[in-house]
Amino acid sequence: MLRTATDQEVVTEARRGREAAYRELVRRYEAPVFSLIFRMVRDRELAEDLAQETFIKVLNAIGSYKPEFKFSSWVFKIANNTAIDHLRRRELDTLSIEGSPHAATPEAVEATTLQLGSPDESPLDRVVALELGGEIERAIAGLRPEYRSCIMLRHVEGRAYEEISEILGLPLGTVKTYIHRARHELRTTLQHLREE
Amino acid sequence: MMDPLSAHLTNDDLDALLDRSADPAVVRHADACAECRALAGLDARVVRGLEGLPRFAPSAAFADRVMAGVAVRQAPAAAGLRLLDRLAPRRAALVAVGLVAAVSLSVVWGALNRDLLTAMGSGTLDLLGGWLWNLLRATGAALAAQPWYGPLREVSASPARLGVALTAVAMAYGAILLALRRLMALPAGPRPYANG
Repeated sequence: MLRTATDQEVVTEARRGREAAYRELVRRYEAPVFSLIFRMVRDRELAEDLAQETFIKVLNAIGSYKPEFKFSSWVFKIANNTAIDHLRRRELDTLSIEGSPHAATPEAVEATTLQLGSPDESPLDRVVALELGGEIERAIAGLRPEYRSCIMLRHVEGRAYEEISEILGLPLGTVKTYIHRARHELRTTLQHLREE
Repeated sequence: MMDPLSAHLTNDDLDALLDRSADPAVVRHADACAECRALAGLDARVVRGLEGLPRFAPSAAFADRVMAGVAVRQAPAAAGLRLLDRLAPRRAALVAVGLVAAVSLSVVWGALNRDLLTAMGSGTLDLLGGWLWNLLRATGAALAAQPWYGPLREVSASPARLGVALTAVAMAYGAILLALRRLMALPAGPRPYANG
């Protein structure tokens, strides 16, 4: 029943003290939240810690959640703030797709390397997707953190400009500017794909 | 080199092309202009690449680790919250009913205890009257003891001198108002910093 309920209904159940509802909220948002944070910090272990911190903040504050706002916006807002706070503390702006610069051992490099592509793809599709995906992941990693949040929320998570403005607490015009600049930078970086 | 984006399609035009909501004139321009067509094509390719990026999942025990840090709301608190949730849509009506009930009860109580109310009222009025009279006397005595009281009384004894003094005060007040208005008026000309 919880699987087919809306976010608001699941939140209501969580506020009634149903642990299953808390777990359902984690199940629904763990992948998008983890992906957003992972692409911000480029370190799997760190991303897990920050995603965990995000969910603990969200679920412990579920009583203060205002139902007039979208639950997903609230979760992404807390996730983005958690990641940005961390980046500001560590000054970890541009990172490599080949692994975290903080990885000290080959195992740590392996653990922090982005795994691209889906297991359902044919070998050729997989090579093409890996190539394009890898190029884009590299290009995203070179963006400023603010641009990175905006472009991922818009084109990876499919959020509307207005919702991104609400999530990031930025004026709508600023969000549009950041997304346009991010796309401009990505176009410039991926210029060589034009002829393909 | 001229930026083709500013000369041809704008960022908003590119957005509209991506959303398939572009004005026919924009579509015609994109068809006719090779530079804009290439730009729009690259933009669409970048966005398709972003939309095709995989979602990453945290490790299997992620939900359990989150739940270990979450305090699931206990039943009494949840019951109180449930009651508040149910009452929330009728809050305005409940406040109105409460106010009407309180006023009605006070009227009924007043009608039943008229003698007591009268006694309380007259006693309070006597007390307040005494305090006010004492306050007035004390204020008058304090004013009469001030060094400027004598000259002021002499001025007010003559209607001509009083008129002159009042006119001088009114003129000084008017002059101060005019000066303040000039000080607070916005400059009429263009501001050199308005365009950055």
